[in-house]
Amino acid sequence: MKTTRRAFLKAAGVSLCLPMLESFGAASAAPSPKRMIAVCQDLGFIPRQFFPETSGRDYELSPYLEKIAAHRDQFTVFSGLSHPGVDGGHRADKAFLTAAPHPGRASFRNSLSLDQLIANEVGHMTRFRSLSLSVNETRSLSYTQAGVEIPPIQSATDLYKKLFLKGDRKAIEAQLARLRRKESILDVVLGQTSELNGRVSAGDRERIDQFQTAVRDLEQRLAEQRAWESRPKPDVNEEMPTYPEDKKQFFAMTRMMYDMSRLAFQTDSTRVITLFLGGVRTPGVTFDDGRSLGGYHNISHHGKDEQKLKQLEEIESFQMQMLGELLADLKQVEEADGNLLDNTMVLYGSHLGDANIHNNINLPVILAGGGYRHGQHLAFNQHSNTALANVYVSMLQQMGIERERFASSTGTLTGLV
Amino acid sequence: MKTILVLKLAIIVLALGLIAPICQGSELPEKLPALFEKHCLNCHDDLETKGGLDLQSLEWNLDDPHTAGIWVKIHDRIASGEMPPKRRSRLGDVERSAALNNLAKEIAQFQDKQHAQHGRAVSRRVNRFEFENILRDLLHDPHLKIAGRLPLDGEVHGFAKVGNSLDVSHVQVNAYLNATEFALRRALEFPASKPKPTTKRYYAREQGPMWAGVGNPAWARFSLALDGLEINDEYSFKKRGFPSLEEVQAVGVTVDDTEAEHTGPWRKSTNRSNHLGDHYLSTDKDKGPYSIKWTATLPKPGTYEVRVSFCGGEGLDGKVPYTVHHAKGKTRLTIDQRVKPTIAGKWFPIGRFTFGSTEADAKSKPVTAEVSLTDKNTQGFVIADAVQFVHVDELNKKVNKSQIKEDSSTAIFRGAYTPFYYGFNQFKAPVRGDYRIHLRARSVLRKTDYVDWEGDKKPRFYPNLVLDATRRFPTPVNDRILPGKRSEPVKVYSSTLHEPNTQSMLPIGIFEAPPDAPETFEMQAFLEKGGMVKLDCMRLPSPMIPALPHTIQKIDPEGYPGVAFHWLEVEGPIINEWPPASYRALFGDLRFKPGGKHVEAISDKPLEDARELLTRFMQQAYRRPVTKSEFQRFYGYAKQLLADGTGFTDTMITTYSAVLASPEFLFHCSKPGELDDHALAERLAFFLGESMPDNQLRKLAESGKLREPDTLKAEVDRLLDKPESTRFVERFLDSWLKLDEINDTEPDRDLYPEYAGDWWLVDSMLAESRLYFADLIKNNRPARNVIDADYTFADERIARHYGIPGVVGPTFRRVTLPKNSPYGGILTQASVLKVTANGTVTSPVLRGVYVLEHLIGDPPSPPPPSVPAVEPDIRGAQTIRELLAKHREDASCAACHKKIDPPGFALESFDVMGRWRDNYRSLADGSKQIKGIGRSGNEFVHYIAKPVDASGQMAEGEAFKNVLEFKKLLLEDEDAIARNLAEQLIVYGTGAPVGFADRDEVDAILEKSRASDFGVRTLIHEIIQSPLFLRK
Repeated sequence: MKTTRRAFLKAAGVSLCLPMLESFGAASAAPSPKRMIAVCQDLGFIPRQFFPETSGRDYELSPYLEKIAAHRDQFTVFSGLSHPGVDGGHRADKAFLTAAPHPGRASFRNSLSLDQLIANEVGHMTRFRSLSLSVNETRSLSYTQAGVEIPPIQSATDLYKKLFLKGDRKAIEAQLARLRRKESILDVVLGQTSELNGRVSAGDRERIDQFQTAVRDLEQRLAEQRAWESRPKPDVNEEMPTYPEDKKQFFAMTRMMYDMSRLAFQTDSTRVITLFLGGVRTPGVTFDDGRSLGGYHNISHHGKDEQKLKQLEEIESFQMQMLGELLADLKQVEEADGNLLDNTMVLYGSHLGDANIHNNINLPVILAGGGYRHGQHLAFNQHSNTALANVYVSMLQQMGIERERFASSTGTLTGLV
Repeated sequence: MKTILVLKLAIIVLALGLIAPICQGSELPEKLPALFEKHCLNCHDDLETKGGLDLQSLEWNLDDPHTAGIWVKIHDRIASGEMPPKRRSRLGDVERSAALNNLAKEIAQFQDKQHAQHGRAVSRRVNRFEFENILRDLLHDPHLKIAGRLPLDGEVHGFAKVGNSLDVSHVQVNAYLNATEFALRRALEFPASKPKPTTKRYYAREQGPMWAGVGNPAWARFSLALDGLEINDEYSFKKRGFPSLEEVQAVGVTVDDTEAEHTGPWRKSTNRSNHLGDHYLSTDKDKGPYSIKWTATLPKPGTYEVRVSFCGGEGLDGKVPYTVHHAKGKTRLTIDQRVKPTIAGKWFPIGRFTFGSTEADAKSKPVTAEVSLTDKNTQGFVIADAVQFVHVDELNKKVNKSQIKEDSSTAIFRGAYTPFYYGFNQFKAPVRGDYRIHLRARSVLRKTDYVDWEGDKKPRFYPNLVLDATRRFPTPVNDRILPGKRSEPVKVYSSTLHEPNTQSMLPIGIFEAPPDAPETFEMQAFLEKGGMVKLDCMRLPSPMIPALPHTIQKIDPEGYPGVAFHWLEVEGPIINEWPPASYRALFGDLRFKPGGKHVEAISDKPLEDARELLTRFMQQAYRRPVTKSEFQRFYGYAKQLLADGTGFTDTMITTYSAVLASPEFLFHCSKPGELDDHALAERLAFFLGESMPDNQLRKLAESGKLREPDTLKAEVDRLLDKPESTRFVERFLDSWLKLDEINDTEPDRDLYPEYAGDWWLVDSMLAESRLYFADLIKNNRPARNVIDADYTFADERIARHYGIPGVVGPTFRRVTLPKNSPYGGILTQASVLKVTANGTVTSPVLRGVYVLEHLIGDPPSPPPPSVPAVEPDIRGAQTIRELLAKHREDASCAACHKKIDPPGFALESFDVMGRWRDNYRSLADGSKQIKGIGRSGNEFVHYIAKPVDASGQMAEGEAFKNVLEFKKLLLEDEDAIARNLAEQLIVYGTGAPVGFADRDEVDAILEKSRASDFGVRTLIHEIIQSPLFLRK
C-alpha cells in the first residue's frame, strides 16, 4: 500500500497540539495568555497635536493624548522612532510591522511581520492563529515569511460569523469535507517534484522550494482548522454587528472592529490581531451626531490651510477617543490575573510621520497594556531616530518569545520595562 | 593608493567596533580605487555621503541586485562625464576609460556568468492577472473575475513579471484553491434546461430608483417622472408611485389665477393644498370689492365642459356668482364653494358651453373663452384659483394606456453614480449570458422652479429661487420641460449591485440621446445573473451626500439639461451554444442533470470519461506536452476519488483543481540557454496576450517552426492584431505608467469643484491613453510620440478638458490637436498628470521623478533620509517652486534636483487632473475669490493664486520657457526615449530587468529599429527576435 505524506504526518503525530477546551470559560490555575493587537492608522497624526512637549514620567499630555488621559498609567507614548530605511510615503504601510527597507523601491521585497512571527509561536493554541483586519482597505498589515500579504477580513459581520456563528451539523460536516478535500488536493499538487526540478535550473529551484514550503504550511493550517472545526465555537452574549456598507461610516466600522477584537481575545479565539485603519480610501467620515466631513485623505493633505487643519484635528481626535474606548473595554474584562488590558499589548501608530509631507520618520507610536510599567513619554532623538523594531523585540519578549532581534532592531527599547 | 583606502576602511571598522562586511579595496576592479581616491572620495566618503553615496562602505557585491545597481550607476555617471563634476576635479579621458573598462568588464562578466548558470530570468509563477486570464481562456468564461480573490503580487519596476519578486506563501496556495473552485463551479452554474429567450419592455416610470433614488427620498426629486404629455405639479410631488393612468388623461386648456386679470385686495394663499400652481387667491371678509377674469385661448371652436377650481370646504361662501361668456352670450351661475371638487380632487364642472363660431370654415381657428366671478353678495370667503375648458370630444374618449406608457418618460438631471444609481432595477438577468437591449431616450431641458419639501409639510413653491445655503433641501419642480438643445451622451453599464462599485461594473455601450423626438438604441450586453441595466450621463452633475445643501450647478444658462428615458427592452438570453462553452470545456459532450445550484454531469463510464476529459484539460492547462507520469499522478487521483465514492462531477472538479494548483501549471519553467519552443510560445503568449498560448502557437511550437524568424514575426503580428492584445496594452500601461493608481486620489472639492464625481472624465482619461498606445503599436508610430505628437484620441469629455474645439459626443476618435496644444504625447496626457498628483497639489518633485523613471529611463537616487521634505502649502502665499528653491540651496539636494526639477517644472502648467492652468488655486489667499456651486452640488470658495512658472533649465544647461519648449529639448535625444520604452517592454516581456550585460543587445535592438524612427511595433518585433527574448 502506498503511504501518502498525509498519512505519515498523522502517524508521526506532528501536526497538532490543541489546547484544553477549558481554556475559555472557567478560570483555571494557569496564568492568562498574553495577547497582542497592532493598529496602524494610515494617515498618521498632526505631529504637534500628538507628541507631548515634555518627556519622562511627569510629561504633560498633548492635545490628542488628553483623549486617552484616563488610561495615562496604562500606556507609553514614544517619539523619535522609525524604521531605518523605510521610506516611500504611503507605501511604507507595508513595512509598518515588518520593518523591511525601502517599500517604495522597484525591487522591494517584504518580510515576516511582527504578528505573524508571534502567530508562528503561539498561533496553534487558538482557533485562529491570528486575525488580520482592515477598515476601508483591501490590504492588511500582515505578511508571511515570503513577504506575501495575508488578505484581511474587511467586515465585522464576517468576523463575527467566523468567530462565533455555529454551523449546524450539516454545515460543519460540509466544512470538514471541504478542508479534507483541500488537503487531499495538496497531497497531489506536489507530486514528483523531482521531475519538475529536472526542468528548471539550479537557481530556480529556490522558487520551487518556496512553493513546496507554502504547500506544507497550508497543509499544517488546514489540519489545525479541521481539528478546531469539530469543537464548538465559544458562546457570547453580544449580537452580530451589522457592518455598514457606506465607507463614510469609518468610525462606526472602526468601533465594531475594536469590539470584535476585544471579544476575540476575551474568548481566546486568537491571541494576535492586526488592524489596518484605511483613511486613504475613506471618502468622508460621519461622526456620532451624524455630521460628515468629506475626503479624509484630501483633508490630510491640508497644505497648512487652517480650515483643513481644523477638520483633520477633529477626525484625529476622534480616532484617539476610540482608542480610549478600546482600552477602557479591555480594562473592564476581568481575567484570573488582572484584566484583559494587563494581558494585551496594544500597539497603536502609523507609518506616516506627517501626512502633509508623506515622510516616514518620527512616527507616532503608543504602546498600551500588556503588563508594562507604563505612564511615560519615551523621547528619542528627532534627528537620528531609534529603530521602532526595538519596541517589537520588547513586545516579543513580553509575549514570552525568546528573541533578541527583529528585522532592523538594535536591541530592546531602552526605558520600556 | 590602494593601501590608503584599505587603511581608512580599517579605521571605520575599528571605530564602529563591529566587523561589518565592507568593500575590500583589493577586490575592487583594477584602477578603480585609485580613481576613487583621487576624484571621488572628497564628496562620497562616509562623512559627506553626497547624493547618499558612500564609496567607502559600498560593498563590491554584485550578488545583491541593489548593490549591483549602484555600481552600474557609478559606471554610468562617470561614463557620461556627469561625475566627477568638472568644477571639482579633472579626470582625463584616458584615466576615465581605463578605469571604466575594468569596471564594465567585471560587471558584465559577472552577469554573463550568472546568465549562463541561471538564465537572465528567474523561473516565475503566473501573476494574478495572468491566472485570471488563463482561467478565462481555459474555461471559455471571458467575464470571470478572480484576480481580486488572489493576494497582491510583488513587483519589480512596477511589473508583476519578475520571478524574484513573485513569492509564494500558504496564503497564495489557499487563495488559488478557493479561486479555482469558484471558477470551476461557476462553469456548472446554469439551468438544466435551455432557457427560452423572452422580450420584455420595462417602462422608466415604473422603475423606483429612476425617480425615487436611493437614500433620503427628499434628495431624489432632482429626477422626476414626466408623463410625457402634460406636466402637473401635483403629480410631480406624489410621494409614492404615480397617478393612475386614468387620472393622467389629456385634459383641456387650463388658466390659473396667476394668468387671470383681477381687481381688489386678493390674498395669495396656499392653505388649501388641492390648488393648482403656486397658490390660489382668496378674499378677506369686508375688504372688497373683488373681481377676477380668466381668459383662455381654445385651440378650436366647439362645445366645452367648463370646470372651475376653488379647493372647496368649510368657511367658503355658498353662493358665489360666476359668469361664463360664450358664443350665445353670457350665463350667470351661483356656485356653492363649500362643496368638495368632484374631478381629480380639484375640479368642479359648472356646465357645457359653446365657444366661437360653429361654421365649417372656422373650424380650426383658435377662439377666446372667458369666465369671471365677483364677491358680490357673498358671506364667506371666496376662492379664485383656476378654470379649465375640456372639449366634449375629449371627455368620453377612451384613454389609450399603452400610448401613454409609450410616450411617458423619466428624466435624469444628474449623474447615475453614488448615491443615486439610476437604472432599470425591475429587470434582473435571470441567467448569466448575452442579451440584446433597446433603450429609448431623448434629451430635455428643465426650466426650474424650486420647492421646499420637508417631512409632511405642504410644499412651498419658489419660482426661480436663488439657491443659497439656508435652504437645506430645495427641490426642483419639473413643470417646465423643454426639448433639449443638444444631444446628451449616455453610458450604459450593468451591475449586480444596486450601488455599483468599479469592480462590479460591466460596460454595455454608449449613445447620444437626441433632442426633440426620442430614439431607440440597440446594444449587445453580457450580463451576470442578477445583472441590472444602469445609466450614467456625461454632462450631468453628480451630487454627493457630504455636499449639502443639494444644490446643483446650472451648466446651461437656459435651464438644466437632462435625459428623459422612456423604456428599456430586453431580449434574451441569446444562446448560441448549449450547453454553455464553459461546461463543454470541462465535461465535453457529457449529458447533465439538475443538481441544486449547479448542474451535474452524467457519466456512464466514469473511468474512461475521466481519462479522456483529464487528458484534454491537462494539455490545455500545461503549456507544453504532458508527460506520462504527470498525467498518471492526476488520473490516479481521480481514480482514487471515484473509488472512495466521490461523485463523478465532484471528482473531476477536484482533480481539475489539483491540476490548477500544481507547480507545473503555476510556474514558467525553462532551462538556461535557448528557450525550447514551448517555453518560447509561452513567453510570447504571456507577453502579448497575458495568457497561455493559443492553438496556433502550440502547433507551431510542436512542429519546431516557431523559432524561424519569419514565422516568429508573422506570429507576433498575429498576436498584436488579436483582440486579446488589449489585455497587454492595459496591463502594460497600468504597470509602466501606474495607471492602475488613477482612482487612488480624488480632486479636492473646494479647489477643484468642477471635477467632483466626474467618473466619466477619469474613464475617458484611461481610454485616451490606451487607444493612443494601441495606435502606436498598430501604426508603428515612432517612440518619440511618448513625448510629443500633433494628435491624440478624444471623446467630448477629454476634448473639453483639453480645450479642443469641435468634438461632440461620447465616441473616441483620432483628433488633430490645435497648433501649440500641449497635449500631444503620453507625457502630458491627463491620466499621467493625474496619477502623478495627489488631488490637492501637484509636486514638481513627484512628477519629475516619475518622468525620469518611467518616460526617460534615468531614475534618480532616493532622497537622503537626513534632508527634510518640502511641505506642501496651499495657503497661496508661496508656490511650490518657491518652497523648492530653498530646498535646492542644499548642495546635497541640488545634484539630483538639477535633473528632477526640469520635467517637474514644465508640468506645473497642468493641474491635478491634467488641465492647463496659468495660475495656482489656493484656499486662503489670492488675487481673486471664486465662489459658487460645484459639480457635486457643494458650495466652494477658492482663490486664484500666484501665476505658474513652468520655465526651467535642463541639467545640461539649455533653458525652456514652458512645456512645449521642454518637449522639444527632450526630443533632441530620441534614442533615450526609444531606449527607455524598449527597456520597459523587455522587463515586461522577458520577466527580467535589463542588466548591464544586456546593454549590447538593447543597442542592437535600437539600431535595427532606427530606420523606422524607432516604430513601436518594430521595437516589439526586434525585442522578440533578440537573444534577450529567445534565451531564458
